[in-house]
Amino acid sequence: MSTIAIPKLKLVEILDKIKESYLLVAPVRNQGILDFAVVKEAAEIELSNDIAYKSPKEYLFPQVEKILRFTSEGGLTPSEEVPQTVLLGIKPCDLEAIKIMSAVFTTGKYIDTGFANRLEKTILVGLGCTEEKSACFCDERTVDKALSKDCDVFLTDRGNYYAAEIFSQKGQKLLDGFCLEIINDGERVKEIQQGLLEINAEENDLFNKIDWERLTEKCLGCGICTYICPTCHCFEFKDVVEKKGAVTRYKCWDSCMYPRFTLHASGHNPRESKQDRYRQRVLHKYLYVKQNFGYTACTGCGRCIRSCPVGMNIHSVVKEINNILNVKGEN
Amino acid sequence: MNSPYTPQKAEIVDIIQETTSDLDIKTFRIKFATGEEMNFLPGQFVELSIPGIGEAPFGFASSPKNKEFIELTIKRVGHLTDALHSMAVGSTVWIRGPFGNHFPLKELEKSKILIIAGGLGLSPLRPLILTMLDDENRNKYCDIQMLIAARSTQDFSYRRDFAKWRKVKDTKVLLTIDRAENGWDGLVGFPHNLVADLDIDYQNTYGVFCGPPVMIKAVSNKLIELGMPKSKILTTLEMRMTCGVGKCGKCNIGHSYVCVDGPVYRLDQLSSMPNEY
Repeated sequence: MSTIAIPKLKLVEILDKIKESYLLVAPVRNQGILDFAVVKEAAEIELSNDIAYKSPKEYLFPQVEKILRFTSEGGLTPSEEVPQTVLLGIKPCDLEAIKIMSAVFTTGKYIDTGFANRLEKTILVGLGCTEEKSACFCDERTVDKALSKDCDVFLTDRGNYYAAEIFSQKGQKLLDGFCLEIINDGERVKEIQQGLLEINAEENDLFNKIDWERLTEKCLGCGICTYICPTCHCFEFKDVVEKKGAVTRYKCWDSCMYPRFTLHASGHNPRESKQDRYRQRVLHKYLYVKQNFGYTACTGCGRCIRSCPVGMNIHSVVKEINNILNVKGEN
Repeated sequence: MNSPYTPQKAEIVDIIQETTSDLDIKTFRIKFATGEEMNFLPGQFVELSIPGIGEAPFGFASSPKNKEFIELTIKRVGHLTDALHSMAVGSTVWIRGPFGNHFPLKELEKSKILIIAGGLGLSPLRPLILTMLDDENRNKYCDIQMLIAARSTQDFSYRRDFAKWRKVKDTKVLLTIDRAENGWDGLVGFPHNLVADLDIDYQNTYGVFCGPPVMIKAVSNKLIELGMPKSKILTTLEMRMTCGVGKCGKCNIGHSYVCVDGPVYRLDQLSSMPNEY
């Protein structure tokens, strides 16, 4: 696929044009906080090295998604159509997260059609980082902060223009008709990562040989880490009764950090304590998703670390787990 | 593309009160409003919805051969089951499924079988029992012994079945209650304390059991101790299976998702998984 140059002076004009045909979602700064939002004016978009407070996960997996409606006449209507969307300015860590969530939602015997439809109707436009932010550790994960090919178009800041690498027909279609110059940006390859942060240990060893109670001592169980995480995908269904008797069923984010998350109707709860739940979160990310889909479900974006009110740090927890298991392995 | 979260309209066509104790258990006979048949295999489950209340998973309790209706046996324990227990014949519910894996019927052929059920744990085993005891299939399986436990004499479900099952050749049905009661001539005690006294060739018998988590652990330990190979011990688990299709992240035990990899597990599988059920 080709690479084209998008002059920065023409960017707003191009995005305003794109906005006429697509719902445009991009990082926008509001009261000092950079976050993804539906763009009203292209001029308000901020394509910078800063990482958005939240990942754009809610635009593919909404926090509250209407999945169906039981009508008052006793029928059922499916969820509404999804708009054609351009998701712009996605950092490589968040593109990695979309790839991981796609594996969960769109592979296997069953497909989550809500996620699959949104993904199909969304054009993913990536944006490289030039340097890491505080608490980021993507260099220790499989993420190359400067390049990702898991998108339709990837933008690299080249001073007075963006080099836009086009990786799909969807990306090509988006930029067709803007008379942009095809350039030779050189063949780029993903950098080989050193010192990958992984857990390579047996499930039962991780379960039994680690002092999870100590690691979880200060955790409040507030769940912010799961809401802010670009790969966390747990959900619950909720019914809302309307005035006229119709019922809308919503699929809503849930969190494995909450005590009732696995509570059975019988009263039995397989993850009764905070340490059980924290263990689940760490092992789900670093072990279970890897066993089931081949990916570690942590992209090193650092959002859980930056947002935690008590300074829980998954990076240091994983390192400590590895240290503990190595020490134990030598005994 | 159809969403796996979309249920189909169904009707309650009959309700059977199972228990006479304070444990309120009813069996609901349900069929699709369209008249369509629901094909399932023993061990699988459905998600049942009552609009405005919610949705929950329930194991099939009827014979897969019965195409007229399905049966779900449900204890009154919360909002959804309260609402369901208040419903009358003719009421509408919504169903999606079948989901999950199933008992390996083919593999159980030509083998002796020991069924152990604790309380409502008999419900997901009933489709298997009804299949194996069916006239067409009975010759495929050897001796079938059943040890069925309940808290008290008033807590047994499917009492109507027991006499019928006892009449089938090479089949034994033993009932046990937790504490002795006047006039009770069956067994007394928990299944794991009774199983050693049964006449079982443990090495050459398949053990299939279900019950509350505490019973699952106690019975598995006992069967292993008695010499039953882990590969011949099967159980079915119940977890909080919200979506039923391996997406919502609630029912995992380690990397295994009970709603798709289970609910039927072999003990050799289960013992390599974290103790988290």
